[in-house]
This record gives sequence, structure tokens and C-alpha cells, in this order.
Amino acid sequence: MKGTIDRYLDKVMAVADVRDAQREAQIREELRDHLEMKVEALKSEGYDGAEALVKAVEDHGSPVIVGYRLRPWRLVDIRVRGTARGVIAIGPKARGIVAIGGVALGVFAFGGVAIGAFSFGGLALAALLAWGGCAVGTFSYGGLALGFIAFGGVAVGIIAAGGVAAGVWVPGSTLPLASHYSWDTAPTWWHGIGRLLSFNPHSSQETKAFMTMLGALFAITIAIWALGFAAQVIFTWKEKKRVTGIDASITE
Amino acid sequence: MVRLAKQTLDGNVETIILAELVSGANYGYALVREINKKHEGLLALGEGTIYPVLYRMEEKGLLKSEIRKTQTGRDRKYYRLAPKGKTVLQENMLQWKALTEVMAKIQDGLSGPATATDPA
Repeated sequence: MKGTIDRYLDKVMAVADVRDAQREAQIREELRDHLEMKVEALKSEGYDGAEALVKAVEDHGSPVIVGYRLRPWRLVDIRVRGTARGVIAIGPKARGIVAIGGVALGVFAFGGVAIGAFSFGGLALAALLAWGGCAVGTFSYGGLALGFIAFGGVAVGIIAAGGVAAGVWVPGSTLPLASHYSWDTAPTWWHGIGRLLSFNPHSSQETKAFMTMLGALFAITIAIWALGFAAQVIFTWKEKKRVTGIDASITE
Repeated sequence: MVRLAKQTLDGNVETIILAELVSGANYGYALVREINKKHEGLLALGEGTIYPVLYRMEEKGLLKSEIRKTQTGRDRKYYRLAPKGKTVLQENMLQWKALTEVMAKIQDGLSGPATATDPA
């Protein structure tokens, strides 16, 4: 009986990665006690020894799920399943100061859906800066940008600029749909923002400066996104490699 | 019988465990077995996933634990309610009572007007 249970517990503890020998021994002992009681209970219900063992470990749950749930909070948490939590969190769902994942929630969030102060992703929702396919934030930059200052292919905001733009003020757009203010009527303190988001196409100097700014902005955001994406791919791959086989079978 | 959805259960597992421990100290396996037996068909706690909850509750000061020797000489960890756990349980039960009343009123409202405004 011990062989099967110990192999199962080895896997659980490998995923949990407790990093405290005494704590790990206590958890292992408690889980072993549970599994042995379960086996005895199953035997008394009529299961034979091997069947009881298999059912006991199966009922206990996948070693990956149980292991991750046992994992204590840590600075850097990387998971291939569930929610990663840490200062730096990487996983399918991630919550941390820096969160990277399918659904990421953090101060700096990178992911398919990213929610935070600074968010980068397919759908980026941010208190300050959002960049992505659909970006919603105080300053938003993306395919579809919604925000106080929105800049993108389609931009909607208080101050909006881009391909198609609508806003209280649209200082620059190929197709301005709606703009309450013009350069002459917009609040003076908005002008600085307006100059950043637009240019006079008849002035080669302004055009060049704007294109340089646009290029730099694009390069910076792409670099930040690429960094987040690379971190996710590399660290998730490493973690996946670490736990590979752990969940494959619980009785071999 | 409606089985409780995971999201309904998620925030209340601690309360269920606290309530189960009112009758006295118990260990993980027995807790899962008794809770699942008592609420059969409505909820099923995962056997392996109760331990992270117990450890979290212990860290929060809701539970205290002690090691007792079994008849076979084996060490077994027993959990019991800590004073903070009793307080939290009472608070949670009051919250649940209030929520139940709200839901009952909503339920009454949903069934009441339908019959009152029935043109037939």
C-alpha cells in the first residue's frame, strides 16, 4: 500500500514545492494518514486491496491540482494550471504585482485579458495605461482604444486621435467622427496632449517628429509586450517540463 | 435536489468546516466524510483539497490543531475551533440569516406579482 501512496504523495509534494522540510513532512504525514484510512474504508466496503488503493488516490484528486493548492504564497509563482499568486505571477490566471497569464490581474498585467494599472494584452483594462487589441484606460493605445486619452485605429475618448476617432476633442484623425472642441476652443492645457497625438501634414518637420514619436511608442509597447510574452512562454515551459508526467498517472 | 455550484460553495467552505467543528475536534478525513455524508447530493468537498483550506484557516487563527496518537500508535492531526473561529462562525451565520431573508423576499416577490397581475 505504501508504495502507491508514497508515489502519489511524491508527485503532490513535487508540485507543491513547499521548500520547508519540516512542513513538507507534516503535510505528507497527514495526507498519508488520510489515504490509508480511505483505503481501509474502501476495503470494508468490499473493494479489494489494489482497487481500493487506486480509488483512494483517484478520489484524493489530481496531484497537480492538490499540489498547487498546497503551494504556499511566494515571491515568484509559476503554474501551468489554476491561479498563480505572487509578486511575480505567471500562469493561466495570474494575480500579482507583475501578472502574466491568460487572465492577468496586477499592477503590471500582461495577458489575453489584462487588468491592472498598466495593462498589455488582447483586452487590456487599465487604471493608467492600456495597450492592446482592445484597450480601455486613462491612456489607451490600441486597435480599439477607449479612454480619457485614446489613441488607436479606432479611438473613442475625451481626447481621441487615430484612424477613426470620436471624442470631446479629436486633435488628429484620418476620419474624425465627432469632436466637440477644435484647436481654438479646446482647453489650453489640453493642447500639449493634442500636439503629442497629432501633427500638421503640411509641415515635414512636424510629420517627421510625429512619426518618430509614433515609431518609438510602438517599439516600446511591442518590447514590453514581447518581454511579458517571452517570460510567460519560457517560465511556463520550464514549469510544464518540471511537472510533466506528474499528472500522467497516479498508480504506475 | 440542486447541487451547489462551485462558485456558491467557494466562499463558504470555511463556514461549513467551522460549523462541523462545533461538535468537537476532528481530523481531515473524518471532516470530509462527515460533511459530504451530511450534505449528500448538495455538495461534495474534494478529499485532497480540504487540506489547503484547513491550513489557511489555521494560519488565519480560526482553527487550532494538535497531534494525537491513534490506537495503532500513529500520529493524527486534529483540528478544533479557535476563539476567533467561533466569532467568525457566529458572524457568518448572521450574514447567512440576513441573506436568506433577502432571498426569501425576492422569491416571494417573484411568485407574488405574477399571480396578482395575471389577467386571467
